[in-house]
Amino acid sequence: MLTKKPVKTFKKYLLAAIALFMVLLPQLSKAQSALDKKISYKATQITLKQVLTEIGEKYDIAFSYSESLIPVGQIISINVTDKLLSEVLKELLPSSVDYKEINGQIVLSKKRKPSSNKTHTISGYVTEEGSGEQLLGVNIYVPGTQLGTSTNAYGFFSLTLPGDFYDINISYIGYQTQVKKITLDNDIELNIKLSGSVEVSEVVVVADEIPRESQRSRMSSIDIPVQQIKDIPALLGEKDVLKVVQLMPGVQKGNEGQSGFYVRGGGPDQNLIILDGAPVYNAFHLFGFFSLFNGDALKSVELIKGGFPAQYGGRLSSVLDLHMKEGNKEKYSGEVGVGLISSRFTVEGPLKKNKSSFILSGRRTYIDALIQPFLSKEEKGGYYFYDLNAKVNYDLGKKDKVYLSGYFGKDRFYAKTNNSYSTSNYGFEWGNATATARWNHQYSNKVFANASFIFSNYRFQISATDKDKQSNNEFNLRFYSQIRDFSLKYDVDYYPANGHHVKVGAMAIHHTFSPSAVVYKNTFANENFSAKKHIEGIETGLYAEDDMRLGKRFRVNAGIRISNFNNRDKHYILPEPRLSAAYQLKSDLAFKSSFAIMNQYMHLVSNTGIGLPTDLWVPATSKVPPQRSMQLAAGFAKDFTKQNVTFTVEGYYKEMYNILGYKEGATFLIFDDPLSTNDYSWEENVTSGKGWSYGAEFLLQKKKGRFNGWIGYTLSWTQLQFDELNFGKKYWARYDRRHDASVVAIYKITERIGISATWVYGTGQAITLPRANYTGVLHSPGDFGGTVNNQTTITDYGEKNNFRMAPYHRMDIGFRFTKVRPKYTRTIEWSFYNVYNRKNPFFYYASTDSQGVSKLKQITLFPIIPSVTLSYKF
Amino acid sequence: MKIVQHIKYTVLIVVAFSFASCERDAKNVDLPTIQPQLVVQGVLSPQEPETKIYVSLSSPVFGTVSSQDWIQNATVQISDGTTTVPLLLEFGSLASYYVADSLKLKIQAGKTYTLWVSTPNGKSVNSKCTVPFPADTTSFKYNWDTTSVYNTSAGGIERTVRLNMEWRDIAGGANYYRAGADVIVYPVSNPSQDIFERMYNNASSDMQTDKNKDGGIMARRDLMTTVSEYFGGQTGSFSFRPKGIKMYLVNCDEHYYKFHESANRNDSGDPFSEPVLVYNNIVGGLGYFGACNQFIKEIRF
Repeated sequence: MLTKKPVKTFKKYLLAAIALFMVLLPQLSKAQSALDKKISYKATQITLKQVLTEIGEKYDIAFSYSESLIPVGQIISINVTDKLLSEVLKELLPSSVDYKEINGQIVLSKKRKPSSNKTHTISGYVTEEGSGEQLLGVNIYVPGTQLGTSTNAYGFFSLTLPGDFYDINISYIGYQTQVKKITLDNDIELNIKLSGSVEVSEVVVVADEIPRESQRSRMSSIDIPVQQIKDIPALLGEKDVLKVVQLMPGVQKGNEGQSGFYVRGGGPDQNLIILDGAPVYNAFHLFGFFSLFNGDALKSVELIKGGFPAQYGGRLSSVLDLHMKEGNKEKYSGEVGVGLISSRFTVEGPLKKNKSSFILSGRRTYIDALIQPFLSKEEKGGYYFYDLNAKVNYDLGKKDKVYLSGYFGKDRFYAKTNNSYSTSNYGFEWGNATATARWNHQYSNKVFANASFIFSNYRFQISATDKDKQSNNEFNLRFYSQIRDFSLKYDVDYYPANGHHVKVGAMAIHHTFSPSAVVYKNTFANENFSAKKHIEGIETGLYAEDDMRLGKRFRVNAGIRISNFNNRDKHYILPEPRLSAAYQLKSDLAFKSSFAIMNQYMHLVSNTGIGLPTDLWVPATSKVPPQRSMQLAAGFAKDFTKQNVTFTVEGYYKEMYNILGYKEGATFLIFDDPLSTNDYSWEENVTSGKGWSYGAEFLLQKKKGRFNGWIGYTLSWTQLQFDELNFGKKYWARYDRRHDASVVAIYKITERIGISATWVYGTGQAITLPRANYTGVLHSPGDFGGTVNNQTTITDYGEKNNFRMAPYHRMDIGFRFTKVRPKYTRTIEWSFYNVYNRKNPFFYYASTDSQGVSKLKQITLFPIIPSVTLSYKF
Repeated sequence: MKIVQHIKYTVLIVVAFSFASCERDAKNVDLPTIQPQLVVQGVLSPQEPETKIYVSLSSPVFGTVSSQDWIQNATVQISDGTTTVPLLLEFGSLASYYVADSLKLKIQAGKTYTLWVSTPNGKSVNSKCTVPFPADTTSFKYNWDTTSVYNTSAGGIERTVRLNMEWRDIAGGANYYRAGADVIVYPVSNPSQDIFERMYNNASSDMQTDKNKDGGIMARRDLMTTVSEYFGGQTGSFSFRPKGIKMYLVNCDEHYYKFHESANRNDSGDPFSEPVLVYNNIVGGLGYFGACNQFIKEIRF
């Protein structure tokens, strides 16, 4: 018996062990499940099938699927380290595919598809991770299909699709693409935060970069990344949006160092510059050498040269649409910069976390402060400019947001004297102020509306006061010219179905033009005089456009704008049809063409064209009709998705009618005798004519990466014809450029050191140069036989713009040294303007030497100019 | 890099490249290589006692500057379509010119005249013009008045003469007019002397066309001149009196009009103003050959 006991005991243990094994077996087998295996795998641009095969081989996992059901041909990139297979599969597999482990095999199966009889809408906002800043122009699309849309100016999107499984890609330049796997069986609200960080997170599964330029219906428009504006070297270190715009093909710069620009043969008066919807009438500081846009406060910059969408109107040649940042909604941050001529600051942060934020950005020059110690106590004088951008926003709820933004800037030259006899003040100042109040309302997941109330004011003023301390007599003179606008705008975005984005809207602007106003008081002579000339005008516009996809290959943006202008003596109503179309030749290659008619009801009266503050904005009248243009463009857009490079080539032909010219001999320097302005009529000094511009533009652009930048080249011709100029004969416009090239290269050598360089080349400007002199003998009526006494020296110029200035070229180089500290990032930037010291002519004049030989002399404005700026970001 | 180092470099570089004078001879440009050109100027008018043609050479702006030379060895001929008349050199006080014998060359309205000028060194130019008919003088009207005020700051009496003129445009075709007037004044010290003081208004030019006014009323209004009447006493040497007005209404051809209109504005002296190109209808050269028909109305107070 004794011998049996141990046997029994052994059996008991064996049974217990078997039972335990049976209980633990599933757990053990689970621990060894293929789905729990940790995977490390990296591959780019391969098919899903290859990924599954390679993972299977590497980790001894069997995948089972039917190729006819599972889209394993999809191209993907993957980079995972020590990640559970189950998690990898969640990211890796399309949303329509389910997986299960059966008998050690991973079986891929198709999920039950939601009913495609019904459509549902995915809508929401795309914002920036970490700041809550709304992102505009973000692509939201289903790769490999024609399904997709992009966010509007407020980060909103809406996409209506039939019920199905979708892998929605959210992609934006400079940001990490996100993929959302969606089972669309109901309307979905999808708010996405995109990370701007370039660091690759643990698991990244991205589809191919989508072709960008070739998949847009629109053409002739360029987004300029704000970061590139900051990276490009600038004159005296002052970063300038408009000077970067000048580096784009189809855009010519004016004189050396000036911010004014000429788009496809159009004058600087034909550019609509809008900041948060508010038109900016004089976009320049210091006589055009700097623009008034502070890059720190800007979110986006888009330049449109042709194929204008119907939502824009009012100028002939271009739209420069600038959007200010909203301000960080999550945390406080800021930046301060110190440069050679100015300092700047930006602060932004939440007013109420995730509800409301603000941004405040300013800049001021300090030449005046620096020279003060060198001036006598009795006499002070100087110059400064400043600008201030401010914006606040508030989320009233899910569907309503309000914004208030403003720009205030001023340039001022002044001189003061104060001695025991008298005090006097002289000033010469100009400035813009704009304010925009906006209310976004989302009516439904397909309808988004924005109402704006906009104020814009530009004023130029000369003032002089003198006070005699003994007699107490006073002399006061104030002359100013001004344009003031109040506008109301209502814009609606409607997304009725996939492949349609309808925009409709209306706007009305009340303009008050004050070409000249004088207030004059002289107590000594007992004179009091005041004169004001106000001209009022109402400009309205109604528009509708649909950006649509017709079939698989065809995209069209068709629209119409009805513009209307009323002033005292004339009423104009003019239709402006707009059409852009793109035909997809390959997935990354498209042929595009566009047609646009534009009208301009305001004229800029200036004969210098360099953005002098004395330039006057005046309305179209019965004598000076509105300007009108017709532009046709066609070209190709090709994306090199792997390299993130876009290449576009466009040809354009533009005719301009009733464009403004200045009569020969006309002058607008009226302020040397302000009291004479009463008799001054700008209408007598201008004349209307025609213009033709045509050419070809090439742009190879890389917007992101360690090495980015662009190469642009323009071949163009621009001619003008005015009955009253050049004896009615056609002539080359001053800014006619046969060749214009620019190269911009930005390279991040290390995380800490960056280098950037630009090179520009342009055919010389066409100017009128005197050729010869002779003694003119004029007839004197009634003075029979006495004509010889009436002699005058006449200068013969031949034809207008008969001479080409020397070609313009220049290279700028910048170096950025960045130091990242826990609490702040410091950047020191060195820039060298005109690094090879090219002596570009600013203007020419004739001078006779002691031998009696007359030579052409030139004045060069900027030799090589080094500068340094220091900035802290916190 | 330390900030101090950056500052050091800034100072060094700014000093090294401190703004030197940036004026220099223009380079990389093709200057127009202009040879001196033949300049021919002249007006045909039935009212002028003689037809004068001025011939000279232009002086190129760039290169060796030469003084104005009136050409005295040119061959100058005018033809009215049937007769060709050679013109003869004469010397005036300021310039030499070529004159046509008024008996041989009659200047008549409606006729087209051709001018040829050549020089021994091979330069040769020509031009053409047609003499216009007189303006519609039957419709010519005018009115004038004078007022006098004591100018406190100048300390004397000033008399202002004002004048309005109007006439009807000849309907059909483009017409070019030149209309204006002079006040005839005399110094108190010499009442028989005639001094002509040009009358102006704010529009300043006496040239106008009938563009957009064909067959309508043309006018020059608010012409005025101020005469200093009593300065330095009743018989002071700076005292003048108006004694009449001499008005002119000239119907001119396009060439006459365009040349005079542009030449008057050619040099405004304002560096910011657009350069004014001066009209030229001399084929192969510079200058003008134009015609006009003059109507003169003189009134004495």
